[in-house]
Amino acid sequence: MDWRTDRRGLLRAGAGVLAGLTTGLIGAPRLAWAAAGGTLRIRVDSDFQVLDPYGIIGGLDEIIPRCTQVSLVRMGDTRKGNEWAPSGAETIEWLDPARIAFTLRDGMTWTKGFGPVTAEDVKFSYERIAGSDSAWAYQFEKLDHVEVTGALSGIIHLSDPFKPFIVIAMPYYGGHIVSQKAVTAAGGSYTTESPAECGPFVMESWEQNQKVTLVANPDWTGPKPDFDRVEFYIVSDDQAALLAYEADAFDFTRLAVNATRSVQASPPAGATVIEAASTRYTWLTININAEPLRDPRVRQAIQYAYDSDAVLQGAYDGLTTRSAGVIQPATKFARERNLIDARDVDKARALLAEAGAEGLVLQLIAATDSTSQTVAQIIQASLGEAGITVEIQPTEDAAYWAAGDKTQGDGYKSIELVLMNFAGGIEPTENLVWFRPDQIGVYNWSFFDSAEFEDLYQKVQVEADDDRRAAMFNRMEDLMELSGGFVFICFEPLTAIHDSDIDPVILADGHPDPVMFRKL
Amino acid sequence: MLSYAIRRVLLAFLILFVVMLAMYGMVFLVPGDPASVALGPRATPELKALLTARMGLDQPVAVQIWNFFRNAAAGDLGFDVWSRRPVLEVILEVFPRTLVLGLVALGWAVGLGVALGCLAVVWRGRPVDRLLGVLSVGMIAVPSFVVALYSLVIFSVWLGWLPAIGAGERGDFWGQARAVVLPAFAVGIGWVGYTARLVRAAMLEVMGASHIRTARAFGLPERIVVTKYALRVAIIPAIAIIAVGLGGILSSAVFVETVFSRPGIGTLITGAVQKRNYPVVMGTVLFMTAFYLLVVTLADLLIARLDPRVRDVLRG
Repeated sequence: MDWRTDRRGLLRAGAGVLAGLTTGLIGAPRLAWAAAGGTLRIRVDSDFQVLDPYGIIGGLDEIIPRCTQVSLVRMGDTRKGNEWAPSGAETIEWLDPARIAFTLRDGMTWTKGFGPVTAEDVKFSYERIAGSDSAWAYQFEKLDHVEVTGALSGIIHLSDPFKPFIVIAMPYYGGHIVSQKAVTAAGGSYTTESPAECGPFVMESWEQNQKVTLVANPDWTGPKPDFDRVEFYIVSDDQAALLAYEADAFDFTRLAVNATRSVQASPPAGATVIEAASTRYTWLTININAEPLRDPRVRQAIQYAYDSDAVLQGAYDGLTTRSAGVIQPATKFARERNLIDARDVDKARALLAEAGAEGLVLQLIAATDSTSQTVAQIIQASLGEAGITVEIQPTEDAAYWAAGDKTQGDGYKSIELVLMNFAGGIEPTENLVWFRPDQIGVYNWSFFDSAEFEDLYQKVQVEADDDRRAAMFNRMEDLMELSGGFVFICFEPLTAIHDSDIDPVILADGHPDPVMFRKL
Repeated sequence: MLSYAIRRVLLAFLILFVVMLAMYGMVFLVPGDPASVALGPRATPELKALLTARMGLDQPVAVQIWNFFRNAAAGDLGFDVWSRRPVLEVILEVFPRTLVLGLVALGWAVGLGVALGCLAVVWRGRPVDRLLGVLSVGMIAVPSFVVALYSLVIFSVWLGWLPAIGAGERGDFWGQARAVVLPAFAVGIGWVGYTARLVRAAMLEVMGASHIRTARAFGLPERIVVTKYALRVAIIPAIAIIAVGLGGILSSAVFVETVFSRPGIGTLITGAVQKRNYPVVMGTVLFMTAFYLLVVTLADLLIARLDPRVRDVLRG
């Protein structure tokens, strides 16, 4: 064959190569744009990183083990009261205020030949996290040990009576059961490859940053989920995800708060919009330790200058109300109102003048999502009215979490203002735990350090009387506010959209539980 | 010619070396420990140590740099710290998707751009020429992600003709073809205008050449003069621009792949940066730089081979 490098030959060859590449080169692309039947398609905003309950970070990390592992109990939908029910456990009962007996459901087996799920696995799963460096060690703070009484039965011994143990420790995060043999064989922990699964689903494939596919576990002997396949599509942008939903690419996706009203006004055909209270609480961190904020009058000035109504209307479309702490409003333990409940710009100015802090300039770190940026801008404007100049630093996720992390150098000591939000739990101590002194440089970025708070935290865990607990919780939130380290903003509304022919289940952390989704 | 080719290849290697050095320096310039930043504050010390070891950051800096260069020279770009798969394997899995997107985008953009450029020359100075000028500049000015979003709304949401996300199922040719339409449209639209302006300018210069006057003197139709005699000469400068354009198109693919959740180099590198997956970031940048240099170098060599004027200059 004669290879000619003239212009005509070039164009001819180029056209041939283009056609060949277009038609033949790719055997691999495989991201679905619409599946149907027994497939549940859920959009999530980021990929998973660590599946080991010991090191789970959050988001999809946690949703996948809900499907591929078992936990002794499973929580119900947060909109229906967060009721728990036995799941991996056949029975579960309190023997006394500090002992819980459980019996595992018979017939659960580990994949990859690791045998049946046993009480030894439960003991291993819980005790490896209790007292460890795991972020979820707090779930097992009251765990003394797990006594194995049979292949499938055991008794959980607590160091003190602690009624919320079942809802804090058992249903998720550190509560997922892992195979002792498999994890030990894997070296004691794992990241993205689960060494053994035992839940209703098993992982079929993972396309990084694109899609995770789970399929029904053929060896699962428990109640069958309604769907035999779950596909998680990773789409980071809320707006693009909404468009993709409208184009029938998913069955369920979270909605951006600022898009909710318009979608509610004209929802796509066959779609249902969810608007509910969530456990995700948002607040403004004021770092007590930062040089310009050491004077309590300056911090109080910020609390007075903050314009709550403007934030709730401007950033949340009036879908939520102001919070008075980190305990979900409208629950029996929530504080009724903030100590500084009404905006008073004059008072803020006076406090700043008194502290000699006129012309104060502060840096505000906020995540890059649209809601955070809107809140930050309104805070900037409202503090500006009191004479405080706020410079917003939009910060991407990884750098954001590094800002207050003490393992990243001394920067955490001097951050000034940070707009933060956490997914909370249904037991108030799960939300308050992050503000203990030992969390400074971890999650407590305010440097809030109160001995009374810590004392109350310990006492409230063993207090059984709800009225006394409520009083303790209220006092703890008073202390937080009095420190000047916090402006409580709101509990973010839980907003999502889904096909009307499915009934989704969303847990208290705001993430779905695909196992419990039902076809209607 | 041979010495020119050798110089071009050596220059490409030099650029590659500088890019590798810059990429490696980036790891140390970004504040904070990469493993801790990647994992967030909930990560256990054991997990941070594991990730640090996987990235090779537990070794002295000099050793890290030496290992990086030595391994890269041998084609080993390291391992993805999360999936633990070889980075090269991860890249080669998604690269064809980006390449196809880029080639389809470039293909339709160049095809239409050349046609519009020719039309503008045929009707130069007339309303059609002016209209094409406005259209071309308009297409250049519109950002590709805006085109992506609007085309998604129109063709996926309203009309339901084309998929909103993904790249089609494995083995489903028509599914893959449908999935590439909107992203390629969004990526290529700017290049339609650019190519049209480029071809028009080159053609206008060629149209004054003596061989074109001769062709006209023979009474050949204007269509034949333009397509057969003028375009053949005018297209040569476009080759270099198109080669450079492929790099630009692959960059645009980063945004478009994100909007369409389409697997490819763009989504790979975006995800890797977000998770501080440095081996993947460095490997991907290195791979794409090498690919880009290869295309540009080949284009330069082709022009030198095809264009007698360049050939003469190189011969001295």
